[in-house]
Amino acid sequence: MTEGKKFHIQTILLGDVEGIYLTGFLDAHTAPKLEKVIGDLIKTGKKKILVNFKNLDYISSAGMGVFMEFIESLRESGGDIKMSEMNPKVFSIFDLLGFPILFDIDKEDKTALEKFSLMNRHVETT
Amino acid sequence: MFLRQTFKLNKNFLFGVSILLFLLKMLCDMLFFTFYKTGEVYSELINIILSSLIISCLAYYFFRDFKSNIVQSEETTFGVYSADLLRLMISSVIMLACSTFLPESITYGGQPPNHISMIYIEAVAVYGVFLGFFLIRFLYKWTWINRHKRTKAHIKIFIITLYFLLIFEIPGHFSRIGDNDIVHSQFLSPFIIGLEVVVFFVMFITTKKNNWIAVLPKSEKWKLVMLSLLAVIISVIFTGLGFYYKTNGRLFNAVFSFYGANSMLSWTFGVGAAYFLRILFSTIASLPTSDIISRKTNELKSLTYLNKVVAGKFEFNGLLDSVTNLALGATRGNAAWTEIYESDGNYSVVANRFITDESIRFLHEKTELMQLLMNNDEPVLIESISDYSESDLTAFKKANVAKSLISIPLLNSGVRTGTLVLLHFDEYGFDYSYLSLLSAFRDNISLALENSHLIEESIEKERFKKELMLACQIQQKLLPTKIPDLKNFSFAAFSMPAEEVGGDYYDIVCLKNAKPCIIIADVSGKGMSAAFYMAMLKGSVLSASKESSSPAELLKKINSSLHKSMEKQLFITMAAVSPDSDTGELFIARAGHTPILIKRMSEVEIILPKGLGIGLAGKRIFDSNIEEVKVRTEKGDIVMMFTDGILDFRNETGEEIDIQYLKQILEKSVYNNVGELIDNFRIFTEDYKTSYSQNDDATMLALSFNGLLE
Repeated sequence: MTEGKKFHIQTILLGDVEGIYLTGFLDAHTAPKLEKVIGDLIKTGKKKILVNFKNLDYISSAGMGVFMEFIESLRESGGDIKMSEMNPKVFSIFDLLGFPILFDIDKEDKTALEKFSLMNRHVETT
Repeated sequence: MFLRQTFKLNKNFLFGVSILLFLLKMLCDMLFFTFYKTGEVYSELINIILSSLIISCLAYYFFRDFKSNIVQSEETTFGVYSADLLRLMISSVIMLACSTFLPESITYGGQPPNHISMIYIEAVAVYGVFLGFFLIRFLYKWTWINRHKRTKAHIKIFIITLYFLLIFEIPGHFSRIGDNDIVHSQFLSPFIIGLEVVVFFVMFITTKKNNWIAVLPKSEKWKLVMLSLLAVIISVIFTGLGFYYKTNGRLFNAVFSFYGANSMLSWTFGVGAAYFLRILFSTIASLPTSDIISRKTNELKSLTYLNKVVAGKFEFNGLLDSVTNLALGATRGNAAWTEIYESDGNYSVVANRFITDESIRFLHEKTELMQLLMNNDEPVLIESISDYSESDLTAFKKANVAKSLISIPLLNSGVRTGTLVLLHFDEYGFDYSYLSLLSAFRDNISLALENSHLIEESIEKERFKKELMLACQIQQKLLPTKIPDLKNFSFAAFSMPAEEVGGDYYDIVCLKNAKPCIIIADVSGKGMSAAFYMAMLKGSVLSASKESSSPAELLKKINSSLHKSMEKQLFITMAAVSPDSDTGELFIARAGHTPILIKRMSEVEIILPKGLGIGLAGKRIFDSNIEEVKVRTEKGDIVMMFTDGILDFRNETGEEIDIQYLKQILEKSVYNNVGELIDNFRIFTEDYKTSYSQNDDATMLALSFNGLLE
């Protein structure tokens, strides 16, 4: 068992979007766990990933780096990672870095999922 | 010192004196002989006196400082012993040989036939005295060297008794003058014989413990048997001289002419007989156990050597090679090999003696041998392979590679890492006593293997530590050592890395137009990789600053040059502040970094210009999302920049330091002097660090406007 703060990932399928629900602390120790989960999802062909931060208490630069790792290639293949339900403290960390410019960060899952379905339509029309 | 000098002088002096006395005696004898006065009382007297003096001087000469000489001599091996004994034997044989040249017509107490033979007889007699002294020296020396706690006393008794014998002989001679034998035969003679018996007995006891004989190798024992047998024979011959004075032996008669010589010879060799008899018996008695003892000695030597090897060798393969050799030698096997097991289950032979790789491969692949040996982690001994019936070894028996076998498993921290196999071409070539020896081997080897492992690890760690220190030293050079003077502004900074090397960076660079620009940066992560990026960043900063005229432009250029070279998950946060010394204005740009605080009068404003972290996006997105802010300052205003490592610290009450907290500190501060402000913060964080661990690199910069110089 690794020392340090607790971190937990739960994945739920929301239609054609894979929902990742984070709990606890995402730092240099626990980031590899998230990295593996997302990596495995992408390997199995999942393109749409929604990360829910409702129960996440803390994130460090290592945690943020995990998203950066996958986003470019995912978007190139027509997918995306969207984020939702961040608490103010966590959001301010993302905001400081300018993540809202790069990622959709929504207050609710619902709006994020809507954006995903818009993506579909966009793809269909082109 | 002077006294010792005189004693030394005395020794050689004494020898000279004895020579002189001997010459004098020869002269007197010649004279008496020539003038037929040998039978006279006075000639006898002179004879006796001179003889006794000569013997006394010689005794003193031989035995003064003798003990200290033995103690000082380093060589006490059997080789030296046998050489000494051989010398003694040869000297004795010379004596016997010389005696054949003695004139036939010597009679007991009678006249020698002529002058020449008289001289010869005298010489032989004196040689006899010397021989006696040689023997005593030999006995004294070697009983002393091989002494035990009880034999020490015996040796002392031996020496003292010898002195007495010497002394009491003298009156005995006097009593023979004029055939006055009564005193001699009634009192002195029994007394002297009594003393002789005592000495004989003492010597016999002294030679009781002879442990040094037991450990000699067989060949040397036989040599000792021969020598001591010869010594016994010679001793008996010379002792016999003392008892057969009735017979007219030439040697005896000759020796008798020199007063004291015959007794010297006979009782020293009598004692010698006791000694050599004892030695002879001890040696013969220890012959049967020679083999076992030499084997045990061999085993002990192997173990000692193994320990040395194990303590001295850390290199794994070299160690196993030595161990294989040692085991083969200690067990007197015919062939051996050591194999090591890889993580994939394969084996590799790291050492083999007298058996080829092909044969070993054959044994692995075509026989049941290795299955048996890998069955458990215990040593295996098969005394006779052909008789082995505990498990099926048909193919192995058929292969007829060996008749006897030992296998020692090698363990490293409890895991079976290898096997040492020893083969013998004779049935029962190996027996159970080797097994216990080899079990000791096995334990030592396991220890050595673990040590080798640990040492290799620790060498790695040392190397890593050294590299880290080097990186730290290099990194120190990246931070500014001297803060350039900023016109109308004061600047102070402190930076505390969390580990030996950190990811925080700050600098003051010159933009185009020589405008100063203060930058602060935080590389994500910490340790070595962060340090590398920091170095890369500095390079980028220095080249970009020459092409930029504003902080925002600087950050854009840095992002352009670094974005592609950085790993996807890494980014750098930066902030740049460029003061205009002529106007007191500040131009501020921020790339994902923590906010900049400005204290004006008693209020603190939080400045947060838009901007992405460096490395997160390409030129297009980064450049279009960064903004530059212009801020006016008054004299006394302070600008504060920091990295988020500062926010990890807690104050005295355990509260986290957040932006609001910093704001409050700045508001409440009465610092005009940025140096003081920074120092206080530094002290606070240093105090904190002694009680808690620091998670992230912490840096703080402070810039104050001193007003325009009029």
